[in-house]
Amino acid sequence: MKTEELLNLIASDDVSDGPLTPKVLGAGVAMLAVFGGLVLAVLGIRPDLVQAIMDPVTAMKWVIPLVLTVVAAGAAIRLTRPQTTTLHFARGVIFSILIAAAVWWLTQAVGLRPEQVETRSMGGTAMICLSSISLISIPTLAVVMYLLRAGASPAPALSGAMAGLSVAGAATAIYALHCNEDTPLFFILWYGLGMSIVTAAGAWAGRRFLRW
Amino acid sequence: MTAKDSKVKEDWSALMRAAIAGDQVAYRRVLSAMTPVLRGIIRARAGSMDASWCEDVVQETLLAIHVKRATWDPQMPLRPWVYAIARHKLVDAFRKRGRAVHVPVDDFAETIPAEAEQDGFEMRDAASLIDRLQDRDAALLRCLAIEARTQDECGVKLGLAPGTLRVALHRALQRLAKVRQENGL
Repeated sequence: MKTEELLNLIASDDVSDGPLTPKVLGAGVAMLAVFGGLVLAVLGIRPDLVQAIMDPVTAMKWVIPLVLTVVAAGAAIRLTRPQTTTLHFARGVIFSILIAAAVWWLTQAVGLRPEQVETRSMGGTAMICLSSISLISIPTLAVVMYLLRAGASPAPALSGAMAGLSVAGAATAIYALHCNEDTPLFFILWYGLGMSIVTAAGAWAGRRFLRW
Repeated sequence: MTAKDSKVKEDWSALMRAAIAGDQVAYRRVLSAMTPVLRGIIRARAGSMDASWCEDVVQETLLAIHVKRATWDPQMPLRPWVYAIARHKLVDAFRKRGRAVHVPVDDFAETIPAEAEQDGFEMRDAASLIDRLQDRDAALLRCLAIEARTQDECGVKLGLAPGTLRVALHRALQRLAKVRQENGL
């Protein structure tokens, strides 16, 4: 095919795809509502939700994941454009949260005996926690990644990771409506691990599917 | 930068905005205007690669510009977006040849446009790449591009209503971009 022929072909295609952002956000929110709703319908919402949200420490179970969701979604959307190179803001926020959470976990562990740290960190619902976060996240992430293929990411793995983190943060905040394990030793560890798994899955999928 | 340069840069963005609004003539014009510029950019950075390899990268870039045009923000100038796509396609083409390269994007604007030479720049395995598409896509692209028939003629030949043909062409080009990306040059 000569370049001229290709140009003629391209120029004769007048079907436009429309903006990507509303599609991705709309589909992501809808999928989270469906799968989050399903998980909550099975597990139930904690009865003392209002008091829990009022407590500044427990409130972090929603604040941290939701901040990550918003920042990572912003980064993933910027990364649909090929000329995006700098993500200083998202990078700064995400690494600050990562470090602050690790420090917070350590300060909570200091002064406790190792068995106490272990008992409190492990809690009683770690596996339910991880599987719920994954169950809400994975179908949502699959749909989001499918739509993001229309983007032109300068860094496919990073795009996927940001999409994964965004979805996982929202899934975690939804799961937190059920989860009543309120010690930071538990939720920093398991929420953090749940979000990390989905973020890694997103990075893998991005590398695989967002090439163009 | 001279006044003439900045006017030319304005034009690309304006033409592309018109194109997105459905002006096919403007679209053909902006594509024709950017092709020699892209060719110049890519040849200048191709190192020891031959002209036919370069032309394939030009085609990859044009196809990507087409299928990814919704990722351009019409509020922004078009050129940085076009250069980013060209750079991405050039890096990708080198990567497929097993060569990792750093392609700086900053000096893209300084490159002199290049015209295609008279002949000899057909994609070497164009036919085989079109063949990897589904039969219907392949027949449509061959009819429109290689046999150079009109959409109406191809519609009659392939039994497609005009609306169906438009959507089929859109999808076929998306799949062609994907196949070319995955299979290399």
